[in-house]
Amino acid sequence: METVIEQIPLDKTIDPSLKKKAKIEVKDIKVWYDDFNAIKGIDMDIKPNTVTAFIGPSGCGKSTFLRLFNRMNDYVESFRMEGKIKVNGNNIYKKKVNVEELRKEIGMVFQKPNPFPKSIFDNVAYGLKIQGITDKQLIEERVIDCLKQVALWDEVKDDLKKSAMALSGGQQQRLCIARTLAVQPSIILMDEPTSALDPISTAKVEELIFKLKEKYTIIIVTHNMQQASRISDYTAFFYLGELIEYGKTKTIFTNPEKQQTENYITGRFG
Amino acid sequence: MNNIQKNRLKDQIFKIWGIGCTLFALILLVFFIGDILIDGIMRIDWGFITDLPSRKAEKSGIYTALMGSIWILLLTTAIAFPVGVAAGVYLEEYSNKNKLSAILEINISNLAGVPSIIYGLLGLEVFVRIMGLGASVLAGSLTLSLLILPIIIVATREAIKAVPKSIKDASFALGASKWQTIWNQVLPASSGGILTGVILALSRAVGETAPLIVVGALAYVPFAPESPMDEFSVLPIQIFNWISRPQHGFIENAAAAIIILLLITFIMNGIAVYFRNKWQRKLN
Amino acid sequence: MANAQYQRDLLNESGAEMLAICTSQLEKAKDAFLNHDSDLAEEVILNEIRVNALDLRIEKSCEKFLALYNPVAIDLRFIMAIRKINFDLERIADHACSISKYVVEVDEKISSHLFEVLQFQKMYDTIVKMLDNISEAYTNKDVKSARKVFKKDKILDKINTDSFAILEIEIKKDNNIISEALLLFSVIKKMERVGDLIKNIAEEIIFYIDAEVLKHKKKK
Repeated sequence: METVIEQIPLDKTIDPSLKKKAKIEVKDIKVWYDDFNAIKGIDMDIKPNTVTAFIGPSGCGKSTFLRLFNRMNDYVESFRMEGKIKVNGNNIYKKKVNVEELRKEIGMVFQKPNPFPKSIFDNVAYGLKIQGITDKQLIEERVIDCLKQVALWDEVKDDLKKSAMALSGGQQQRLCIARTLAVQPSIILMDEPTSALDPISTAKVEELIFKLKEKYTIIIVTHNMQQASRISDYTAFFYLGELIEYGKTKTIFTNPEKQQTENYITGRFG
Repeated sequence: MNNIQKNRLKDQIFKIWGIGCTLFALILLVFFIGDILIDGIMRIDWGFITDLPSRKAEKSGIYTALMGSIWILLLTTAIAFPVGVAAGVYLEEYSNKNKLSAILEINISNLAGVPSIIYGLLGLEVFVRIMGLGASVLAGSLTLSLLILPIIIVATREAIKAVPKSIKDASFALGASKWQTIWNQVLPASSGGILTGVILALSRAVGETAPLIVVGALAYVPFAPESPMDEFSVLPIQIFNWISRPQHGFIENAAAAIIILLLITFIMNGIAVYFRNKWQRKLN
Repeated sequence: MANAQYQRDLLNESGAEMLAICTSQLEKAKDAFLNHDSDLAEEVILNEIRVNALDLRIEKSCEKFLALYNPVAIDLRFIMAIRKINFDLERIADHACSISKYVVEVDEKISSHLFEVLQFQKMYDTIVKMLDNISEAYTNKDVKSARKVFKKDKILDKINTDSFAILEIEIKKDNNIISEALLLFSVIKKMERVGDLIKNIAEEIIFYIDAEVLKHKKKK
């Protein structure tokens, strides 16, 4: 099985910033669900160590597009796609690609926090466990490190065996992020990660995303335009399955090129 | 009388009707249990449990039948549990959701409703005669396994369906394979529901009479089974046998045996309820 | 977003109102000065209260809009522009008020000869045209009209620069006209300032509509 991205062996805890920067190129991607053409031909390049926000009205294809990067759409029976998505030059949709390896490089955080009904420790360690890692010390170090990265360590350090389901919504979401970080991906996909959280938890997660930018490439789908303008470097505006405009966030929000974009961000439609 | 008052009256009437029906059922149950207790509780002592059956009522015990029931229970569990759960997992997680699988799903539910004596006939032909197992514990267990298999499969499928898709998504997104996800997340999360279903199915099996009679369980067996190939009897059959005797002493015995059987059933159901509650709390 | 749209329209109307009032104040002040009409001058001075009240109202509306509606892109530029335009208009009205105060405080009428020599009427006409350009630019969101004021402002600058030399000559001819001359000199300076302020307003309108920042750049 071919691996998409050269892996540094995970039996060492390595500073992720030493890893290869993941550059993403999207070439003429089209997606169908049965006969419905959900995505109509998108080209896009995403730079490493940036936060890119996908914005657009509901049903415009942002989430579908996001899920292309870690091939989560593969589980939908009616899904069909054309085109290429290259990560560091390798097309991730080639038949020989090992999807499980791919997902270790490209992690995902979901809209509704979905911790496993297990302990906090086991949640974060899960990604390592399924890779067959048994070195207890390594696992423990990695779990602690990840919990610290998401600023959850101080809140849970007294009882890592507590069930994850007992945490608050905001804590659960940060736990899910820690869980994703544990396998040391280079790209993190986030599908509306704060839409189910209260404003304070949202602020904490946004702060976290800003910090994570140093080491990871982050793509975030969001309905909240102020969030997009607060935390992203680049913004892509989608409408009805097409990429209408993609550029620096600063430009999109002060002087967008397309009238459609301006109409959307000033709230005149959508 | 205006509408509000009419509705209130309907409310009251329904409440009273509901309470009445519930009380009626409860009273019947109390009456039944009370009657049995009165008839049989005095007969239960250590001797009753350890004695072999005999022609004299006072000397007759349930030892062989109890042992037979336990053997049947354990063997049926060993056969039906893995097969049923595996089938449930396969049908729910691996099979394509097409027309064929829909037909399969309907038929499995139907099988759960087939009269148990039919299973007896099937067991007689296939296990006792064709496979040559004779009227053994093994044949009886296999037959009962067939009987409760649909129940276990359906319970497994329902328990797995109740595991939120988000958990599976999270597992896949971390790079787990389908089997890893099932083994590490789906099965542990659904274990309560599966266990509940298995225990309920088994408690039904414990009380089955007809299919075991057809398969050849004897009414009078003066020894406890020592291997799966031995002949056997079970509590319900023993009860049935004693009830058809004219002597009054055997009626008492039957009542006492019924109490033991009820006790086993209640305990098993109790365990099932305990697990189900624990499972529901964990998932929430 | 209907509420935001409504607030934005109200703000737009207030801006137009401010533009109209300040324009009329300036025109009245110049007429009063030209014709030494102290009644008209009094009117201007009294109206100053209205101008200040409107200025405050617009400031408050801008603050509210920023706080509540998170404007971006063209809406944001609109708020930024309106605030600056408002500020400049208020200062134009201030100059109009000062000019009117001169009319009330000084008794003598200024000789028409001086007005002629200093091209006062031309200055006056140019400013009126510039104000028309700005009005059109603001109402129709038209960048072309806004650009017209830059050239005109150069006329005002020239008249202002020339006025020093011309007044020197006139004073040497006849010493008695010194107080008139100083007064006129002062007013011409103010008018040149008004021209600059109108130019600022034009730059803000262009920024708002085209997102082009013209401040500190060479104007075409």
